Amino acid sequence: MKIRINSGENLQIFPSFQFGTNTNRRIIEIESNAQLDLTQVNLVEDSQEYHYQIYLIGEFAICNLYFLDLTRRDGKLKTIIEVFHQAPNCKSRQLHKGIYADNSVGILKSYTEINNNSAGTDSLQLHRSILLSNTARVYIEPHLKIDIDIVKCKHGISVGKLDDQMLFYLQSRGLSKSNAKRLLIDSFEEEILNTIKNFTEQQSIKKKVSLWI
Amino acid sequence: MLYINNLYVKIHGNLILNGINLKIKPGEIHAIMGPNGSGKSTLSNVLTGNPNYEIVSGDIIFEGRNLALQNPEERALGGIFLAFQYPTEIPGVSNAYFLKAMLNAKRKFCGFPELDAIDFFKIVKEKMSILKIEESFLQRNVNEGFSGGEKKKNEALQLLLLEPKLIILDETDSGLDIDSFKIVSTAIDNLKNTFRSFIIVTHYQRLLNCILPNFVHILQNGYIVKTGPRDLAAELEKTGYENSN
Ligand SMILES: Nc1ncnc2c1ncn2[C@@H]1O[C@H](COP(=O)(O)OP(=O)(O)OP(=O)(O)O)[C@@H](O)[C@H]1O
Ligand SMILES: [Mg+2]
Repeated sequence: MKIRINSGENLQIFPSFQFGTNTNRRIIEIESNAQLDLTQVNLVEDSQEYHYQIYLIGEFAICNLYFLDLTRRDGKLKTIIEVFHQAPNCKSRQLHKGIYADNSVGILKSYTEINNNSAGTDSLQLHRSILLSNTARVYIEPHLKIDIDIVKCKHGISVGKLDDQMLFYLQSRGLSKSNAKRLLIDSFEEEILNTIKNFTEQQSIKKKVSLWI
Repeated sequence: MLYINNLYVKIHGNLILNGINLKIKPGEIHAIMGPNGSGKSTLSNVLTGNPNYEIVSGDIIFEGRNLALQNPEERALGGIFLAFQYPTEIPGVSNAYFLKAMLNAKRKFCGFPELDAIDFFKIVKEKMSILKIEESFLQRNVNEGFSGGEKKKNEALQLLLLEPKLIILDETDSGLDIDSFKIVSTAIDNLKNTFRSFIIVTHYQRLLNCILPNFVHILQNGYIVKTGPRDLAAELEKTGYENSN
């Protein structure tokens, strides 16, 4: 599927829980002064793969990508996110969060390329993951290819468990362990889910998400 | 109310408490003083059920029940509260959300209906005004980026909201400026009644001059080496721990 966002336009894409089967590839091209806001929530317990290719092709194009992956049981989710900066002064933001339960596996390949026409690029990629069991796994491979000097690029990765000291602190105030976990998980997800601007949609997705793990 | 008998506690394989004996009746105020590393925070954490600490032997009985069999939330709902020496930061969780969840957990346990947002704010704002805490506190994440004194005030706020039966203060006075100290210690002093007991861990006399303890215990090398009346704190201030045993 290919989408083009015309000059000066603003497109918001909101979650689809399932992409269908096998690989789903979306190509999105963003022209000058246009903006993409994409929030994708994946609840996975089988085998899923999705692949985004985002091209910033006009000056001052902006893309904001938010992903929340929640996998459980024997679920396997492979995500490929490619962002190509091909024009000056474009901005890209990528915040990817994952929570992996049971025996599930997450694989994330994040590729950002900034070509020599992209002076003034401002790009940021953050990946944060929580493993809820000792058998869940996540593999994150970030790649950054920069062909020009005058750019601002940042990326960060963290993978962890729910923090024992945080859980104890909440329990010491009377919250049950499961409620304490819920609170920490909800707040982890919140940052992504709050980017869904339609309130009714946001609430209904929050509900589905909280029942999933 | 609380009965500690010959308690030995390990952390990561190291024996820290070496036979603590302590009896606290309802309404009593016990101060625990002692040099750095003597085990004061260890004792506080064991009472609240921190899973990092392992009870090797001995008993802790609270209101007739064996505490070692209870998880932290059961102890909290049973009325034990520790104001931590180093409160945990929880990024991403707003203080308002946390305080409401905390209050509602207790209300549910007591069989009261849960508070909605409006009632919650009414209650929390009243307690915040007692402690002269700014309203922006509620929007910030739990303890995240709080100064030392702000963290202590946030502990005090939780204390006022929960009104527990056994209050353990682990150096709540350390880090508070002169004005904040007066506000917090007065607020805590106002919680005193004939049913409620206190364990006050402190290095300084000033808190004990405000919340007058019935007993002062000196903890050294993991056990209580001396117990005395309130004057013992003043004596310590002069002589230090070297000459106390
Ligand atoms: N995780 C740990 N691993 C090993 N030793 C530890 C650990 N945590 C605490 N201890 C040790 O246990 C001892 C008692 O510590 P504790 O925090 O109870 O002291 P304290 O009396 O509260 O001291 P302070 O007055 O400095 O607060 C110290 O020697 C400390 O180093
Ligand atoms: Mg201590």
